[in-house]
Amino acid sequence: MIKKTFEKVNEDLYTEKLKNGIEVYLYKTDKTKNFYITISVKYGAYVTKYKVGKRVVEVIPGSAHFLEHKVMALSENPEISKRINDLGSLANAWTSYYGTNYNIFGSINLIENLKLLLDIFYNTDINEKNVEEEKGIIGEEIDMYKDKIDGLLSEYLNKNLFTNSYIRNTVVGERSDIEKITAKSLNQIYSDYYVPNNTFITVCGNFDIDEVMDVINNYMDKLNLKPKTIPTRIKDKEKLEVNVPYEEITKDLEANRVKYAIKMDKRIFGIKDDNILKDYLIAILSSNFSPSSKLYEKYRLKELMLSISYNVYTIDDILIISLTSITKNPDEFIKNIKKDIRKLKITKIEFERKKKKYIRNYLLDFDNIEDIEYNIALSLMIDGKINYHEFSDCINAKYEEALRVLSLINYDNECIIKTIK
Amino acid sequence: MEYKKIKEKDYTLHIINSNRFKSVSIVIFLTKKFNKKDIPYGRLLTQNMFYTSKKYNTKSKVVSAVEDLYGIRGSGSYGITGECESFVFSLDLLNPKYFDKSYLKKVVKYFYETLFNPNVEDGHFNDEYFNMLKKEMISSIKSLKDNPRTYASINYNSIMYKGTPSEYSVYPNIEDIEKISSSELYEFYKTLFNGEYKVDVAIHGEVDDDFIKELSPILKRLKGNNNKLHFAINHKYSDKVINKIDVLPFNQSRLYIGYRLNDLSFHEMNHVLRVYNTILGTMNDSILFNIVREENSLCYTIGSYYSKYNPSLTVYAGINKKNYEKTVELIKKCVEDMKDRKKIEKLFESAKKTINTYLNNYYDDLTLQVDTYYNKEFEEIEDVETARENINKVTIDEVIKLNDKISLSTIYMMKGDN
Repeated sequence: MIKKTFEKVNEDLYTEKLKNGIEVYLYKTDKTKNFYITISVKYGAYVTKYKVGKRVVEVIPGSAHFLEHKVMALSENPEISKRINDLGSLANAWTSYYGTNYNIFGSINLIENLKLLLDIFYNTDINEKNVEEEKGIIGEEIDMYKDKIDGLLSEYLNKNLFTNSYIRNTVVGERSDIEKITAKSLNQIYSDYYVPNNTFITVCGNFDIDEVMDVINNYMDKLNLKPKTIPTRIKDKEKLEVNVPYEEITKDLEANRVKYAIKMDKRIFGIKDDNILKDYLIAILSSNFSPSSKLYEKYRLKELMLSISYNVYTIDDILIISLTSITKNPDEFIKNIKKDIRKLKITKIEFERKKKKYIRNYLLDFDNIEDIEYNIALSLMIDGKINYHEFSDCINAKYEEALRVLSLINYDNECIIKTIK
Repeated sequence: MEYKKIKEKDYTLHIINSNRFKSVSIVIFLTKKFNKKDIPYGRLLTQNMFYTSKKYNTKSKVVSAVEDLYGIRGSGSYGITGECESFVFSLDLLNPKYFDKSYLKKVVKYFYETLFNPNVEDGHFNDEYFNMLKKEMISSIKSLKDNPRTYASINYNSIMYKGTPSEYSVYPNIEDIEKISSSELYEFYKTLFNGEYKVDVAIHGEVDDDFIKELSPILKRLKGNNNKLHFAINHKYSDKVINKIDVLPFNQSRLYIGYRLNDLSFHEMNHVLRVYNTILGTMNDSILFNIVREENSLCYTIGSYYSKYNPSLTVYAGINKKNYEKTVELIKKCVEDMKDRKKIEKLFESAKKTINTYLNNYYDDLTLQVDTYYNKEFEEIEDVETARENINKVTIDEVIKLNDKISLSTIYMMKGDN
């Protein structure tokens, strides 16, 4: 096992790569009575088409999430379900664009829970009958998300920003998509992506590291899984131009929403690490749009908006900066933001303040085992690695670099979504 | 973790000394008997207090000060709990041991400023901010309809708990809030620290006597009473079952089914009900989850929760409107199933183990620890290990017998009409 230490907080993470390619991450702590065990696959909704050998597979949107439901299908496996209940544990799962995570939270018998989670993951039974039965449940889940206005508008925004990208689809898919999903299509994905060298296990809690490793090694020896070629995701060719620059969405809302976004090639910034690039941009946006900014104060007092939030995300080589506002004067808001977005600035004092806030969040992230696991899982799914030197990256961030990043933002490719009654 | 309670003339200090977290929390609770006339002032007051202050007289100055102190988090809220209402002012900071001594001094100064030096001129809150926040609050009240979950829950509470403080949400009527002037709000503010409220101060984290000493400027300004208050509501409800359906333009319908809990003993309310609710609607394999979701594919979300202060049990689900009748019947059947010994036996031991896991969360949840010591001032609460012991003593017979004290009261649906 290799011991790695997160800077400043001195929290250790033990890691090992098994011979079948599975990576194991162990976070041992005595600060909690509970434990949190997860197994994750680096497969999510961002795979829309892939190639294995000569075979090319088109993926139906919503498949990764549907597969999650069928792998974590406790009601179809009474024996496993009984064992989980007998331990008083809570099993759950989630799917994102970049990965799928299966987890057990418990307090009694970590080892038995670990074996159970592995049993869930490696004993799936996906058949036509249980796939059809699941469609009603997932349909209700889709409707639930459609009623969340902010999520719904993000869907619209991504559809309008992009022409071909995976981000045009939601993780859960549409009702019309899930109707097309079959047991065969799900089993195919399971067999192609749920392979050991595309999987990682995380254990957080108070346990004996050697004992946990023995259990995992023995389990894997019995399964006798071999590393397999991980399918190559076929990326969608995305244009730099915005697909639909402006759209009005009819919604009976008391206060309207505006989403304003700019689309650009992330490579213009010359920063390889997306996280570092995003951190600089977030610091800039925070200085201009958070409640600490003059603009925020002005917009609220002039009743141009009730609230504003900002986001930065990358989709393959594209970078998106987006602003979301709740406003009673959407037209005035849009008129002003189109001008003000081009006047972004940041002072050295503001930049240093943003760093302090970041340090707080970094330190507090280690207070909760679920947060720790989540951060590990996201890093591995998105970046393929864990950054143990995030603290130094933050401390060493240079104001001059923030100014350089600011100077390179391209404001030309706008996309606006506005709700109307 | 060590707990110390110090009763002073004007306030009760709860010191929860723990190195479990890297942060320290200071929470000031002001509590009195609920008065519905206070609702329009509650949220408006806390928003004005935390938006600006005399020294930090713009939002920009407030947030800059907060960020300079490594993102301390200050917040104020107004809430209704059982028969009482409360203002809660809290401040979360990083453990001062990471910084030099001036850090804590600056943090206390900031909190003092927020609590005791509001942005007031000539006997009224600054009109520019007051008017902006008032308009925004009116807009946010109107916007409640945009959030189906919150809106349905508020409507359900107003029916289920009619005639008690639980009928009200902290969102006031628009007509009531429109009438409030900036000077009236200031008059209301002045009542906060003049002895009308019972004051509790909870400090959680790695704290010592020096830390408490640093807080003394704030503690000295607190003026409270020692009135004996209780959260529990005693109200005689009608036996008539109320059915109501509202229609709004959403995709999904929200269903709430409310049951009254009649004359539960302390043991039934705090131990038996917890096991009952876990079996019915919260554990992995709960009866509601298995029957309504897994066997009939009628919903994605379903569960149950209970209220101790206004004794009731609520089942909620997100459903398709066309499945309304079927879902209601199935939920009623699930509650009926709670009398079925075979079904209870199957889940009983697992439910208790699940509760044991939930109980451990207490040690990982700073807010829960603070709230527990505060709540102890207003109701009988066992410490977590005593509760665990007593829950583990609950019998199957007691769970089944609880059904005799449960009666259907309200069926409410917010029908999604898209």
